[in-house]
Amino acid sequence: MLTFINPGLLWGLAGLAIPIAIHLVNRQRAVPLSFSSIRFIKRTTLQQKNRRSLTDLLLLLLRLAFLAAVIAALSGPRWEPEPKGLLASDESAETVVFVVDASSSLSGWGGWEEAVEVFRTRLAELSEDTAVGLVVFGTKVLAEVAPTRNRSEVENTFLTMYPEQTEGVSAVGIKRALELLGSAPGRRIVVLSDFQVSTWQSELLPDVDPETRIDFVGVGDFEQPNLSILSVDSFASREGGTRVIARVKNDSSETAEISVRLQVRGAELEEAVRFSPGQIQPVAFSVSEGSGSEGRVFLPDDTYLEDNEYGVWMGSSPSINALVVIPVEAEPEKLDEADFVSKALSVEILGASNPYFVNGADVSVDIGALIGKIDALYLAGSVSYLSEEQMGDLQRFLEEGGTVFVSPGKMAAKQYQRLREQGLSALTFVGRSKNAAEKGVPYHVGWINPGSDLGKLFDEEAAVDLYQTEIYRYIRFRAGEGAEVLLRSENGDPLFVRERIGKGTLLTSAWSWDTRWSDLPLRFSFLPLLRESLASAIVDKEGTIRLHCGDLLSPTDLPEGASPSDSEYFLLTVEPNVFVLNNKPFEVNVSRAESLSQRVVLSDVRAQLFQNAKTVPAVEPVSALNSNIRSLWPYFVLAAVLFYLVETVLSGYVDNRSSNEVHA
Amino acid sequence: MAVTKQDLLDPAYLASLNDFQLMSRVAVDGFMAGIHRSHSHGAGMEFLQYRNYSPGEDLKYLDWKVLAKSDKLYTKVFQEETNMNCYFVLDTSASMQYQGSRAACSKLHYACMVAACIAQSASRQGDNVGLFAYSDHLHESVEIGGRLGQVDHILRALTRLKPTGEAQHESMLQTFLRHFKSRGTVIYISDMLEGEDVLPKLLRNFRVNKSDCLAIQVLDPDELDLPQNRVTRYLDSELESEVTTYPETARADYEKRMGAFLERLKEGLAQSQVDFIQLVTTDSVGVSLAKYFDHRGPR
Repeated sequence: MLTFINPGLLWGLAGLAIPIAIHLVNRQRAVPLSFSSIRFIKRTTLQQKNRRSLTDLLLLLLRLAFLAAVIAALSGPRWEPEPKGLLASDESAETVVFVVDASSSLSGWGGWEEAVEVFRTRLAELSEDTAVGLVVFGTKVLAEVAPTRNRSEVENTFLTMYPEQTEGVSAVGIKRALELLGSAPGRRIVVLSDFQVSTWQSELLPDVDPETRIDFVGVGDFEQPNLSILSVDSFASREGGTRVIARVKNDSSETAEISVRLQVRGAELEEAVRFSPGQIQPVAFSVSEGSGSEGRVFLPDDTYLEDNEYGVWMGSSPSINALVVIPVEAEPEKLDEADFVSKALSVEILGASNPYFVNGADVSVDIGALIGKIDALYLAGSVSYLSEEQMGDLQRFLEEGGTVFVSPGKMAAKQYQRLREQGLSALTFVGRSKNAAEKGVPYHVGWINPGSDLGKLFDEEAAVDLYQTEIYRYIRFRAGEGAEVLLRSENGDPLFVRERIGKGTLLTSAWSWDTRWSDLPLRFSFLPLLRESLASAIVDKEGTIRLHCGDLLSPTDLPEGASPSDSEYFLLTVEPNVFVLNNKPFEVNVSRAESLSQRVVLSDVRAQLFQNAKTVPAVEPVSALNSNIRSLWPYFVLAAVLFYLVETVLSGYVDNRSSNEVHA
Repeated sequence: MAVTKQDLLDPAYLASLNDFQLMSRVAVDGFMAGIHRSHSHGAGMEFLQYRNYSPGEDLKYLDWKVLAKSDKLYTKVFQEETNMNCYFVLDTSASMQYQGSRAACSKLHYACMVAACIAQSASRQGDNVGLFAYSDHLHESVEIGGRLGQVDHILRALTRLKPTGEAQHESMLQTFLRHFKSRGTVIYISDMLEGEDVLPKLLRNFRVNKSDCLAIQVLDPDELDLPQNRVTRYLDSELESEVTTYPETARADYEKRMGAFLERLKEGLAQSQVDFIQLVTTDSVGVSLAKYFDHRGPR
């Protein structure tokens, strides 16, 4: 390292500016201008002779160098050896851990083959001293080798692996790699992955310290066209058979004409379909055989095979039995409401949730006898007319898991009072709203509980219709503790409330669902509002349970005493499978998140990994100077002399040439 | 003195506002005052037709009234949303820093004003907007979106832009193209000074992807006529080279070469079916808005 005994004298170097200034003044001054592009500007010949200016420049440099050498020599220059830091000896050592994504998507788009190739190349490039480790991950760590100099162990472990049919959880792999690296010197992680969004858009990525280097190596070509079955649903059809509907996506920029096959009980159905680029299209099959069997939908082979097959349970969904109860004699106008409701419930809609069977009855119906046979009771203004015994039965019906829908009638105050006294409801009657005819402006729904099923059903655009519903009058009540308000009016009054009683659900509407109270029955929103609020309440009628490969079964679905990790149950969900367990049908398929042909932005991943990285405190250099210091001033003196001689010769030559030109 | 509509679109006035949010609103309002009385708000869904219900469709689109009357399942079909994706691709290379004596702002600032104005008006029409600004690396990127505050995102990103580096059109536009999925309009804003060969080829890719492409060239008036009047050492802002010349003697040749370059660029872009607008930093911003609306019109 160059040091000086009298560094203050170096200020003398500022004196060098003087000859430069003189030189610049002597030149014809050209104004410097930073310009967008000089490619169109032609150099026009300056009036000076270029060669002359070149020798001038050389002379200037020689004079500057002479002065600089003299000043430097006077400052007492000397050479001191570099001090060595503590870490200097470890600089060359490196520990590399390969983190390899073995999620399902790697088996497609040429990802795994490329990963193997890249791995071999990268491994060969590393120096022999480098310790190499390996982590292969899917949803969990599938294989690992702690950093070692035994390359063949790492290579052999890697080559025995192949992508699983599970999703990828990148955080798991990175975390394990950091654990394996520990505090080894020269830490480096090489990630081989297709960087698919579903694997890498995770908030769980661990923090990486800034000393660790991470290389991202993307493999696989998502440009290759791929068709995938997104989901398959089966419904009992009107004609008695089963309809199977597969949603298929053409994830490419070209039109595809393929045949989609459904295999069921050895028979095979085939549909030729044309898919436009990027299109998602339902493909329907009609199966005449009875239900209760397993079906499989296939696409022809393409770059990613795992999403070309989908197993579906073709059993029927259980139907929901509903009974609409009205006070026929006391309030015959309630027939209107019963008509609308039973019509809306009984209509058979393929593809919708469980089908309904609807009956009607007068208030004298024996509710006790219906327990176990009826799933939902629609009490249209009927509560006030029920006997004490019927109220007791109603309570039992609810506690055992029934769903009751209550709408107000003429005697609304009594209705709320009776439900309250029976301990079924926490709603308190406050009064009746003014009739919209008197007020001049109808009431509207002003708020849909965003956390409820209705909030999800009536998303932004669908909610518009519900908000536009005109309610001419309603019952004002206060919702007590335990009542979940689903809808509120514009001025905040609860309009539709859900309460849980035992295993059952009580739904209370503040207005009667007929055309005298509101225009709801004539609106779009009526059907979904009624059916979905009832269906979401009837939890026991769930259909098929859908799982992804690698998911564990929920303990509640298993026989008592069994654990999801028992090999008997664990193996059920390892590969795509359709089975029945405890009378519940299960569909296990490869997660379709793995079919997304979209890469994450790598700079985002990097930013996330290093987001909490703090700068590591620098290691204090140890003063290990020895006495091996050499004085350099003689060299500078020698250089000054040399510059002076050359300058003298050159200036003599220039003078000579100028005088010759003058003579000429 | 009252500010007139012409003032609202004058780059000197807009540059003095020094805030893209304010500037773009002023300019768009100034422009709109001339062509629209007001912009209407309302539900964007327009009923189009009925069609048979197919299994698996969402219940909420089922026409319940028809069902109740006739027992037939019909679904209401609504007019597709007509909003489109509008991507701004901005060149922020060092050459965009140039500001001549006649201009009120640098080329980059002007380009940002143009982008801000178009983004503001596109967003008002309900279009989705996104930004990609690059030179030799990615400077700013705002994902396409149409949510509230999307324009603010873009305007904030524009504020952060600094002209540096050499324009790497090929690699950066290829990068952008890889992430470019959905169709829309790509508005490419640059001085395009070195790109007469490469840009038409690259911008053609957007046309191939069935997107519209509008190339806006922003130049400083100095770049068209080389007005300096004394010997000048021109330093290339992107390449490390310089040339010292007498502009008086070099001017005629410069204008000829520049003209040839512009001809070649226009020809190339026309062949690639890319619309081309040349703006000079002294031009009214209204010109760019008018050309944009002309381009945005039905094709």
